[in-house]
Amino acid sequence: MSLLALEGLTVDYRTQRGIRRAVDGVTLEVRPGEILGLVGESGCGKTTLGRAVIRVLPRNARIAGGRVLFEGVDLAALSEPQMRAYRWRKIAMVPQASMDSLDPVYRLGDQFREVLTVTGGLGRAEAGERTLALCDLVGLDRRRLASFPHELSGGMRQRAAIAMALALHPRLLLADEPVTALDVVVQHHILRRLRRLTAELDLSIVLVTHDISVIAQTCDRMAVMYAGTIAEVGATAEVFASPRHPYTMGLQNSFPNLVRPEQTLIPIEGSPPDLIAPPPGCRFAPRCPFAVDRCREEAPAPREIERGRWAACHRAEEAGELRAQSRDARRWRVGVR
Amino acid sequence: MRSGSLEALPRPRAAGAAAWRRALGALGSVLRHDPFAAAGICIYAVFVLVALLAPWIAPYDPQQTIVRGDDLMASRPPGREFLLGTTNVGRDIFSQLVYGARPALTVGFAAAFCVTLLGTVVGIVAGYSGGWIDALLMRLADVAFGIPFLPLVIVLVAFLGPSLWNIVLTMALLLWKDTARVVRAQVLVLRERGFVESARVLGASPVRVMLVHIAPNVLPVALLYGSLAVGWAILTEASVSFLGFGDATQISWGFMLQDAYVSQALSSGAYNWFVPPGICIMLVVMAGYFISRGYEELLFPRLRRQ
Amino acid sequence: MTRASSRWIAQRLAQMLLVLWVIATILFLIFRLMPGNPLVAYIDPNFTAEQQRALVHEFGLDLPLWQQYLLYLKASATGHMGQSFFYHAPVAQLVWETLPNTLILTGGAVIVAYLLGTAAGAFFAWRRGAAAEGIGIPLALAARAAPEFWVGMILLAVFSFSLRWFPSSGTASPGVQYASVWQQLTSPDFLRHLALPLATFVLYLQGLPLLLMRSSMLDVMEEEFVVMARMKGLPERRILLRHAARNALLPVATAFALVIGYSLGGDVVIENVFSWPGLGRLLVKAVASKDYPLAQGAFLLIAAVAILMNLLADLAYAWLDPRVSYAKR
Repeated sequence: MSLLALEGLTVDYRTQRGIRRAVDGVTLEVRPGEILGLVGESGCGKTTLGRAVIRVLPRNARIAGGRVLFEGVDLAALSEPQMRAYRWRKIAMVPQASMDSLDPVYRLGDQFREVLTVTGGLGRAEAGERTLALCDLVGLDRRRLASFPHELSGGMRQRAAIAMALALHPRLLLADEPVTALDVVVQHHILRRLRRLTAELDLSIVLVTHDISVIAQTCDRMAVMYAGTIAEVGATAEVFASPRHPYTMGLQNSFPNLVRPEQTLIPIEGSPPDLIAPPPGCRFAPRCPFAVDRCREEAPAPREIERGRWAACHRAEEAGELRAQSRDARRWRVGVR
Repeated sequence: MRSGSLEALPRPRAAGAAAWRRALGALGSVLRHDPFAAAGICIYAVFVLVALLAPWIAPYDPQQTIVRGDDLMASRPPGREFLLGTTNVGRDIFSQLVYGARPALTVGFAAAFCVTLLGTVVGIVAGYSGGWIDALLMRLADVAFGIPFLPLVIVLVAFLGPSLWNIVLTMALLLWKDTARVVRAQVLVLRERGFVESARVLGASPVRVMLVHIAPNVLPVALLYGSLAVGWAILTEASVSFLGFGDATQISWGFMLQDAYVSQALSSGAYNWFVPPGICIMLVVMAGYFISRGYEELLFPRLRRQ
Repeated sequence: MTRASSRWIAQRLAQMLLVLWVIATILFLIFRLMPGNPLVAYIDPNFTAEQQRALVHEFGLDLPLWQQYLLYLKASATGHMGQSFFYHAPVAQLVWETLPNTLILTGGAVIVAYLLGTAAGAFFAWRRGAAAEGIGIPLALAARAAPEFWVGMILLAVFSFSLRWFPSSGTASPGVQYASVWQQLTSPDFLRHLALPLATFVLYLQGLPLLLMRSSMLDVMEEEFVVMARMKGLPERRILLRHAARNALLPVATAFALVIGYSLGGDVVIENVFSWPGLGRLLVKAVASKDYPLAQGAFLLIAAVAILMNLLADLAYAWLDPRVSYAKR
C-alpha cells in the first residue's frame, strides 16, 4: 500500500499566451519509509508537482485532472479546510535553500513556536520542548533559535527548514532542491541526516533535484521527469546501471563521473519544448538521438517493462543497444540525425 | 588611445543616438498598454491646447472687471453670459480659469525640466564618478532631506520676490534630490555593464561616456520622475499663490483660490468660484501620476499578477 | 539599552544638529544676501536713529561678517532669536507658544492618516479585484493630486459655513479658557475646532500609505515565506496580518521618512486655511508683514519639528526591521 499515489495528475497554468500544461498525466507512487528521487531539468514541472500535492499553487494554476491519493484519500478532491488538516501535519515541504523561506522579521524560535502552537495545537511549554528536540534532530545549534533568518548561514537555514518541516511529525516530506545552494560538505551531511530520519521517524521523502549525483547518493527509487511527464521510474541502482529512456542516458552523460574522469561530458543539445503548445508525440523526440517517425507522431505512455521498472519510450525494449550508442558523442549532436 | 580615435568608429555614436530614439519611442508603448496613462496624456494635451488658445477660448480678459451700463457684474451666478459666474469684483471666472492654464503649465513644465535636468546631471556625475564627488553630493542630498520644502519656498520667494521664475528656481534647487538618487542608483548598475566598460577601454573620456552611453539609458527613469515633478511644481505654485506670495500679475489657479478665500467666497457659498480651479489642478496632477505610473510599469514591469 | 543602540541615537542626534546648523546658516545667508538693507532683519525701521544704532551695536551688526555669524549661532542656540516687530514680544516665546498647536495637528494627522491608510491599503491588497478597489485607488490618487488647501476650503464651505456643524477657525471659541493642556486636548470645543483641519490633513496624507501599502502587500504576498506560511497550514488571516502586513510596512516606513518635509508644507497651508494658530500660520504672517526675526524663528522651529519627525521615523523603521543593525549606521 503506497503512501502517496499520483494517478494521471495534470496541472495547468493560465498565462497570457495560453494554458501551459506544466504537469501532464503523471502517475507515480511513493512507498512508506522510502526516499524517492525526482530528477529533471529546470522547468520540467517537478516543483509544480510537489506544490500540487500539498495544494499550494499560484493563483493562476490549478489541478486540471487526475488524483492525488494520500493514504487512500484523494487530496485533489478535498475542500480547502479539509486540505488544511493535512498540511504540515501529514505532508510538509522543505523549500529550496533560499533566503526567503523564513519570515525575516521574526526570530527562528518564534517561527517554530508559531507552527507548533497554531497548526499543531501544542501548548507553549510543549512547543518549546519540541523545538529543542527538533534542533537536535537536524544538528542545529540551539542558540540559533534566538537569531533572525538573515543571521544564519545557508547550511543552518536548511537545517532549520528541515526541522521546521518535521515539526509536526509528517509522514511525507517534499524536499525541493534542499541542498542545491549549499557546498558539497554541507550537502553530504544534510543528505546523510535525511536518510537517517526516514528510518528513525517512519518518514517518506520525495527528493526533487536536477542533480543526479544527489539522487545516487540518497534515494531508494528514482523518477526522471521531462517536460511535465515521467520518462522513467525504478530503483536507483537499476536506473543508473541500465537506463531505459534516452533522456536518462543523456543525463548520465552530462554529469561528471568520479570513477572515470576521462570520459568526456556530452550535453543534451536543444531545449525543452514550449508547454503551451507541446509537439505531438514524444516530448523528447526533437532532442532524442534515437527518435523514429513513430516517436514524433505518438506520445509513448509509461509501460511497466519489468517489475517496478517503468519507462515512457517506444524503443524501451532496445534499451541495451541504445545505451551503447548513447556513449557516442556524435549521436547527440543536432543535425547528425 | 586618445578619445579622438573614436571618431573613426561609427558604432558608439550610433548606439548613443539609437538609444535616445529607443528611450523616446517608449512613450508610444506606454500609450498603447495603459489606458490611464493614455488618459493622462489626453488631459495634458487638452490643457496645453487650452493654454495656447486661451485668447480665443476665453470670452473676456481675466483681469477685466465687467460693467454693463452702470452695473458692476459682481458675484453673478453661472449662466449663459458668464459660464462660471463672476468674482466679487466682477471678473469672469471662466476666463480666469482658461488663462490660468498658462502659468500652471509654464511653471509645471519649466520646473519639471529644471528639476529633471539638475537631478539627472547630479545623479549621473555622482554615480559615475564615485569617490568623494559622490559622497559629497549625496551628503548634500541627505542634509536637504531635513529641510521642510514649502516653508523654505515661502521664505525664499518672499525674499527673492514673487515671480513665477523665482518659484521655478526655488523648486529646482530643492527638488533635485529625489531624481538624483534614483538616477544615481541606475547609473551604478549601468556602470558595470559591458558597453560602458568597452567604451572606457577604448579610451572614451568620462564626459563622453556619461553623455553618449549612460545618459540615454537613464533617460527613462529621469523622465519618470520628471512627469511626477510637473505635478509637484503645479501644487507648489498653487500653494505659494494661495498664501499670498505668488505672482499677482498672472492669474493662476492658485491665485484664483486665494482671491476666493479672502473675498469670503466660502461663507457666501460661491462654489462656482473656488471649486473649478481646484479641479483643474487636480486633473493636471493626476494626469502626471497616471503617466508616470504607466511609464513605471514599462520600466519596471511587475511579474504578471493574475 | 545596548551600547550599539545608544551609539546610534547619539549619531542621529549629531546628524540632527548638523542639519539644524545648515538651516541656520542658510537663513543667515538669506538675510545677508537679501536685496536691500540687511539691517531690516533685526531692526524695525520705525525706530529712531538712536534706537537703531543701539540695536546695531547689540546685535553686532557693525562687526565683520564672520563674527556676526558666530554671534548669530550662539544666539540661536541659546534661544535668543530677537524681538518680533509685529508683536513686540520675544520671538522665542511666540514660537514656543504656538508649537503645541502644530504638533497636535501634524502629529495627530500623521498618526490617523497612516493608521487608516495602511489598514485600507492592506485591505485592498487582500481583497483584490473588489469593486472598492476600482473606486478606492483613483480616489486615493485624487486626494494626493488635489491641493490640500482647496480640499480644506471645500470642507470649510460645506461643513462649517453651510451646515454649521463645525467652527470655521482657530482652536477655541471666544472666551474659552483651559486649566491645563490635557483639559484642552480633551474638551469637546477644542476637538470640534480640530476636526476639520485634521480631516483635511488626513485626506491629504492618507494617499501615500494607502497606495504604497497596497503595492507593498501585493509584492510581499508573492514572497516565498508567505507561500511557506500557507503550506504550514497557518490560517489566512494570521498570514495576512502577522507576516504579510508586518513585512509590507517596511517600505511605507521608509517612504514616510522621505515625505516628512513635504507633509509639513501641507501643515502650513492647512493652518492658514483654518486660521489654526500654529507655526505655519505664524510663519506666513511673519513673512507677509516682513517681521523677519519672527519668520526666522518660526522657520527654524518648523525645521526642528521636521528633524524630530525624521528621527522618530528612523527609530520606527529600526524597530520594525531587525535586519537593520544599529551598529551599521
